[in-house]
Parts: sequence; C-alpha cells; structure tokens
Amino acid sequence: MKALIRKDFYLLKKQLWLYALVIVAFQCLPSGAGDLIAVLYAALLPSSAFAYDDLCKWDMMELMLPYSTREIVLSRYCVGWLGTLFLTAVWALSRRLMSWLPFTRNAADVPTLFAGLSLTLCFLALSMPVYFRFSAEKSRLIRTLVLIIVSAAIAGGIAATGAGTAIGAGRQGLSWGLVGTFYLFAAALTAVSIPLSILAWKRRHR
Amino acid sequence: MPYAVTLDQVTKAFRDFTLDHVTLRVPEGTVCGLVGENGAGKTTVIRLLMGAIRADGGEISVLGRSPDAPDFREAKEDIGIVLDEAYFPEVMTAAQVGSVMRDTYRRWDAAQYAGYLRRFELPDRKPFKEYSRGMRMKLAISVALSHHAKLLVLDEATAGLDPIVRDEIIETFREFALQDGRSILISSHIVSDLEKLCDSIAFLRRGKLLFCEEKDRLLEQYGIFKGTAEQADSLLPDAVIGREDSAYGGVRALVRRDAAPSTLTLERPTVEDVILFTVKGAKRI
Repeated sequence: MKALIRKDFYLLKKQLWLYALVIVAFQCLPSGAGDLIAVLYAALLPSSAFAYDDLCKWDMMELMLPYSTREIVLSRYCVGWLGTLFLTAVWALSRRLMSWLPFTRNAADVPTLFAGLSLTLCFLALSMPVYFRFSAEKSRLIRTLVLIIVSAAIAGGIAATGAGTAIGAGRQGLSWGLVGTFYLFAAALTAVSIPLSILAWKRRHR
Repeated sequence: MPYAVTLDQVTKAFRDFTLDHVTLRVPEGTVCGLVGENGAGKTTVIRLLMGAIRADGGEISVLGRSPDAPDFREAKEDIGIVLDEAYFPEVMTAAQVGSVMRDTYRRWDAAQYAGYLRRFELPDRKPFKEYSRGMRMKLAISVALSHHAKLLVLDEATAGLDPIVRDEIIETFREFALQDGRSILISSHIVSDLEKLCDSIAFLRRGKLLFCEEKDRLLEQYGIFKGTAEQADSLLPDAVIGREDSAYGGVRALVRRDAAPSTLTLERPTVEDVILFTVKGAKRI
C-alpha cells in the first residue's frame, strides 16, 4: 500500500502545493466563509489521482503487480485522508500566522471548520465508489452532482444551525458535540464506502 | 517436468470474443512464444494468467499457484511483467518509478535497476512523458528485470520499436533466459523476434490454440515445397497445410514431411512460414 500512496503523492505533489497556496490566499480574505471552501478542496485530490491513472491506463499495470484489491482501494482513501490532513495543517498554520498580522478578519471558528472537514470526509466517502466503478471522466460528472447535493446539505446545515451568522460574526456557531456527531456520520459513511469501492473496483475489472 | 505456466482447457467468453479451451504449457527454464494476429486472444491469455481477469472454465497455474488463489500475490513477486505500453504515470521520473517499485516488490534490487537505467541510457530525473517509445519500453523492462523474477511475461513488448532497439531488448531477454530456471512467455506478432528467442511456439487464432510445439520439432515436422501446380495437386490433401499459387503457375506450399513422398525435395521452413501457411490453410477450409 505504501507504494501506491507514494505513487499518488508523486502525481499530486504540484496540486497539493497549489491547493496550499489557495488556502493561504483564502486566509487573506476578510470573510471567513472561504476557509470552509478551502478545506473542502481536499476532497478533490483523489479525483486528480484517478484522472492521472486513467490517462496512462495505470489500472492495467496495477492489476499485474503484487497489490491486493484491498490495498488498491484503501491506498486511495489514505491519499484522500492524508491530503486532507496536510491541507488542514496548512490552514491551521496560515490561520496562526494571520493572527499575528495587525488586521482583523471574520475567520471561521474552529468547530465550524472541523465540521467542514467532516463534510470533506463525507464527500470522499460518497465519491470514492463512483471513481472505482467508472472512468475519471464519467466520475467527474457524477462528482459534480454529488458536490451540488453536499453543498446544498452544507447550506441547509448552516442555515439550520445558524453557523453562517456565527461565521460572519466570528463567534462560536457549532458545539463540539455536534461536530463529533458529524465525524461519527463521516466514519459510518466511510465504513460503508470502502467495501462498496472494493466491489465497484472488482466489477470494473473482472 | 516442472512447468512455469500451465493452462488446461481454459475458456473465457466476452461479448464478441471467446478464448476456446486453450491448453498451453511452458516448462521451467524455457522461452515460449505466443503468436497470433491482433485480437487472437494473446492479451486475454496473459491477463488470465496474471489474475487480472477470471477464467470461465479450465485450470491455470503460474509458478505452481492458481491466479484465483488468495496467495497468488506471492507468485506475482516472482513474475516480471512488460505490457504493450509502459503504463507508468507520465509525470513520474525513472527514479520515482524505482522508489514506487522498491515498496512494491519485496526483492526489489535498486542496484540492478540503476544498472539497467545506465545500460539503456535512461535519464532518471527526466519525466516519463519526455521519453520516446523505445525508452518507455526499456524502462518497463528495467522494472521487470530488477526484482529477481523467475518468470517474465511479455505482452507485445517489442511492438512498434525500431529494429535496433528490438534487437537490444531481445538480447536482454536472452540473457535473462540463460540464467538457471528462468522462463519467459512472450506474446508477439513479430514472428522473427520469437524465432530468435523461443524454444517453443504456441499459435493462437481467433481464440483457439492451433498448435503449441517445440520450435525445432515444429520446423522438422514441416517442409516448404516449391514446384508446379500439377506437382502440388498430386500431393495428398492431408499433407498440404497451406499453399500459395503464383500468377506464373508456380506453387509454394507447406507440407507435412510424414505425409509427403520421401523423394520430394523440401526446404526447411521458418516459423513465419509455418504460421502464414497454417492461416492460409485454415482460411481455405
């Protein structure tokens, strides 16, 4: 699995740094809503890796090498999680740096951003089986649909919990308890998503 | 006799193609060439024996393991694979491919890999997308040869390469085959490459295996007849595998030596002759 993760990070190296730059750029905006979007960018990382693989038909090679189906699938999830972790670290670091600058901005509060992170994990869990089943091109279309649904869910969630006002006002909007529930939901979704991805991958290649 | 690869009555049906009860054996320490036109089923055979697809029927064994078995991964450690393209991501460099393979194969030999890169003059920091086709295939071969494989599986590995590069690559395969107990299964439609390298030839046509023979025995079994149409017509129909009538009345035919009169003068055929005439004969039927 280490080999596959390593390969993906070679592919995504430039993209990761670009996303990191975008996150830092978002920190300079006066509104804190960009923070949430920046964290959600991380969910797009595996799709780029799938697109690179499709381009060179890596899956043909992958099938011939000593990797198990589980390794192939789990490595992609790991890439998504590690990428998210990296970009979150960039966000946290840049937020810290920004706090030393002599101007104030309405940054999103930490629980709201952690909730955003859980949405990234949900998005990864929802989109992964699609990527494993279809080509990157087809998956991109389906992903757009999923993105619209997830965005609508975020907007609905923000409206329902009043987090939008909280972000705007820079005060606490979500309780840690609620954020924890989001993570439980993301974990449950991922637990269903992984076996589904394994099935999808087998169906595509057998 | 221990076999590196055995396929026994293997069948695989697709919507528009069926691999039909193929039986093939590659003894350990030998080189077997799998010949056939495009779409004959060569790649299907290779995908089946690598466990990339599952057979509908029959038995497959590669280095003593079934591709369907959970422990087939162990066998893959001992197989070097080169496909018709080097399917490595284009943004990667040879050095990065090497570090991915180091984590892929337990017996990855970094020094050997570096040696092959030097031998093939492959730049290790240049992105793969800037490589020529020949360089790409050489990189794939370097990977296949750098983890102490016991079996090399090559699917059209020399296709689309110029004769000089092809010769260099064939020489590398020959060196591999000379090592004790190493076997090669090579699929190609460039018969001249196989003739240089192989101990046995298997000929696939439209999903059926027409023959699988030791090369020398195959060439001894048949002869090339050159004569007039009347002389050719006088031969037993069973003796003639395939014939080629020229516009000037002459005939060139592949005949079975055991069914032809002993007085008949026959030339030694090439593997290409045997294959071309077998196809011509099959078309005539």
